[in-house]
Amino acid sequence: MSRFSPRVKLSNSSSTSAISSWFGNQFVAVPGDYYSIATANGTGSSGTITFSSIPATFSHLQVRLIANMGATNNFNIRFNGDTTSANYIYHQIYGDGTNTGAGASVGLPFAGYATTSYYGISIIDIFDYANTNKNKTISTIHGSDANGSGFSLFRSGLWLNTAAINQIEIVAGTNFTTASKFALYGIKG
Amino acid sequence: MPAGPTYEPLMTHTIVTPATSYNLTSIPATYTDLILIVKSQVATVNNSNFIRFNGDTASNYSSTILSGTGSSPYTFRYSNDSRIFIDFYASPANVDFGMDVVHINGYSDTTINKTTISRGASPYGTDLIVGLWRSTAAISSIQVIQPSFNFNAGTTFTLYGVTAA
Repeated sequence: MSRFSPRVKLSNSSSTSAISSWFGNQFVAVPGDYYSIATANGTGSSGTITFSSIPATFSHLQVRLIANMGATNNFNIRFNGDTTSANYIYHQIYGDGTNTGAGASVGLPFAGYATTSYYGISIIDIFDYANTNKNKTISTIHGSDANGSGFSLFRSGLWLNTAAINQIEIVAGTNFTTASKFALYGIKG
Repeated sequence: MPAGPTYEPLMTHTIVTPATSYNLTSIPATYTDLILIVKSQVATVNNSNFIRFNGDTASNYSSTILSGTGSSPYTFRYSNDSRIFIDFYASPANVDFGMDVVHINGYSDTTINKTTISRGASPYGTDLIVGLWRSTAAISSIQVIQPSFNFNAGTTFTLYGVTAA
């Protein structure tokens, strides 16, 4: 993919700002080390999104999604086809505008939530996913807002398995709409 | 096969004179997501930063806030608002800087309303905030607002584009 070099104008300046050599340690991720692996869209007829044949050549993975379903529902993440809830643990803290809550349990890590009209957005980080000496830890930030309802949530998760992750599924109880977008990225370093 | 590097810095700017807002305009629609990073400092603590899109100042925004100050967690909701919060208790400081990282997934998708997720961090707290702009328009400009006090000189705004394969 060729590098796109747009010029975005800042209203307080008399000229546009291009990508410059100023960038150094102020990057959140160093350009060139963050790779798009695969994308998937909802089909309207399935509640499962699958990323398979994930290469073991990165250090970490990130899933970025914005999703909606035909009914208000949660969706979860699972690895390598492991459907056994006892193999997963999570902790969470959330706020819904009225109440805060925290919890921990055994079960599939949360990937997001959506209402029928408004979308949920999630950023899911999976650290050291290919390291066969470690169980796998993930971190999720998620939010869904429907102008009067919704919540913000932090969740951490653990997959009790040292296998390298080669498949990720996002699983919902209802079908993802066709406007739902999922993307998997690999981070080198 | 990975598609290649996909995390592109679009612009960055550090202000040299105080200002109450900054606009990032002419944002191309060619990326999948945007990530906005605001490193800010103001004259007085605990004054939240906000964003608006495409010059829309109407009550088309809402925010659901989770915030922690070190003593308790808090949650708030603002509906039918004229802006989206990107921090709350983790608002800019007057000596040290506050940091806001705002993810805008699907910013150019004209079939969906726009949802943001922001993490705020400062010496005064930590926040996670979801925002909604009830518009299906592609986002072509972002205004970052400090309505109570000026952003101090040294405040930096950085925008990245993320492209899926």
